[in-house]
Amino acid sequence: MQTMTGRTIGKALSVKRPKLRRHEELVGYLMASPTLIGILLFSVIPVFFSAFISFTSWNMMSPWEWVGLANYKTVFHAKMLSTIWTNTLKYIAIAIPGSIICGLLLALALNTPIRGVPLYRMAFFLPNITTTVAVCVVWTWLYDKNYGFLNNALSVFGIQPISWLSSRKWAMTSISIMSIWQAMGYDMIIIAAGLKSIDETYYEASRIDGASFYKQFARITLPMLTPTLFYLLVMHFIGFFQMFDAAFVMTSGGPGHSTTTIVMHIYNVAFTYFRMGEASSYAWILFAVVFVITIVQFLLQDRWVNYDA
Amino acid sequence: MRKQYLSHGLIHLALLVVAVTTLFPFVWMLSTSLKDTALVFSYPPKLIPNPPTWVNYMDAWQETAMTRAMLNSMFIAITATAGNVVISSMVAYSFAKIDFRAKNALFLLILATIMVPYQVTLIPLFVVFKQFGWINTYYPLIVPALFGTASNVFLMRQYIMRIPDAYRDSAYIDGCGHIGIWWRIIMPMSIPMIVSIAVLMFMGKWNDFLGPMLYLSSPAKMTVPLVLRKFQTQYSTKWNMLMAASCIALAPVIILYMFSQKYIIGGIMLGGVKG
Repeated sequence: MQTMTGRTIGKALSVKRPKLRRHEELVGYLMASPTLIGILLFSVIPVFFSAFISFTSWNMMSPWEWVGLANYKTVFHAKMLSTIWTNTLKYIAIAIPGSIICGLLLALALNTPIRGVPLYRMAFFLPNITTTVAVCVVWTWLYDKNYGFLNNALSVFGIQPISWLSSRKWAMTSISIMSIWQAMGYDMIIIAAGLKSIDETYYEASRIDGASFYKQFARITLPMLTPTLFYLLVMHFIGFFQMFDAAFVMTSGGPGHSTTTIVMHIYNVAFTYFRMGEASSYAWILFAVVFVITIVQFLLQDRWVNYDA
Repeated sequence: MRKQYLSHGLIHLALLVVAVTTLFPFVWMLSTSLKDTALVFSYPPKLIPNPPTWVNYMDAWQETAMTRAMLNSMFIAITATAGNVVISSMVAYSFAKIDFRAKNALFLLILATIMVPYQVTLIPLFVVFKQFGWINTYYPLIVPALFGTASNVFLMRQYIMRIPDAYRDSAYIDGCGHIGIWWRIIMPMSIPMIVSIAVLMFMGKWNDFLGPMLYLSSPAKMTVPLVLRKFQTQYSTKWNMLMAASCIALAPVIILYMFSQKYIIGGIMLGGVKG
């Protein structure tokens, strides 16, 4: 009904008064133009420009010299490439499952008919909106080897002080834990929305059939949540691959290069050494990999994501 | 019945433990910020500082020139957000309620740019803004936002699509143009969505670190995360002062969050897009 009136008016205009129809078109383009111009200026053109830079040896001072694939060769032969990939993969291997599982458990607990749900939700979501730089300073203090709260608390159980941020072994794990703390509230909210959309009749029917709580979870809740989990997985792969702030503030990429992530390395190559061409080729390799992972995730979703309402 | 009470009790207990753990970093930040140096390093650590001291706050505020940084952050976040929300809403209206030929293709193009990761455009944009002479100005942090952002246009469009066309048509018949329909009818009707987007965008801009770090170099222009980072590198072990500075930096965000929680969570649920 709604669309019909709209379409009827549109059709009437286009048939009887082509001038007005053209006017309508023009207004449409005009009102859409700011963002169209915006993405052209700040996304489309920069993407091509970035590709161009990656084929030059430009360092902000030098003339633009075309070097073909030389930057990509340099990058693929650089030792740093495997280091930053290992670091980033280690980070997402902990942070993605960690935050989704924590978010799922919290959402399930808040989906029960208990009191105080809004208060709990407020508490769990708080870390997500707070300034990363500020909470990283706070976590650096909690993680402090000699006086930090964490080691002090662990010493009660006779555990020797752990070099949370100052050892190669622990640094990336420590940052991942902080990230889980920051991300789980977001996942909780998205999953809670997914839980709300599951039709109550499924549970009623299964209760009549005498299904246990665990069976309900495994056979109804989890399958029905797969679209939500898929969404979170895709978003986190894109987002966590670009981690920068936390490692920059908490460890500056150290000790050694044990917490240097891909984006941090791009930042260093570009804005510390001004090797813009090389940095751009790093950025494109990252883009390509994230793109391929996202496509693969979409291709694999048939195997586990359930879209039956 | 009793079994239900028991299970509710257990859920509460588990949730309370997690909530206390989640909030603990903030509590510890507050606690440390109120301690004098001797108390900071005392063992066993004390949660409640006795006597509490305010001197860290005054030192931190002075050292970081926090008043200026707050005003800077506020200026960037407010101008970028206000412009972005109005423009995004207008663009969203055109995609939701006006028929023009390349509409669907153009909308897909806008959506596709959400996929472009920021580190690809980081360098070319920096180069261009440098050419413009925009280094150490607020333009690179504000101007791109004024064109509307893809994710916000998408969210607004989803919302406006659900407003019945009858509103548009009756206003049209009464002689209202599209600009008038958008501004006088659709804008007021989409206030909840606009507030959600505005709050999330404001927070994103306020918390942004990489952008200001790239473009702002003079101390007088720095934003809150930047001065905090600078402060951290200068006083890496003055924990009570650092915690006081973090507290000051987080206070506006936490207060805004308390008042707009409903809109923030609503916005995230609707679109699942942040910042």
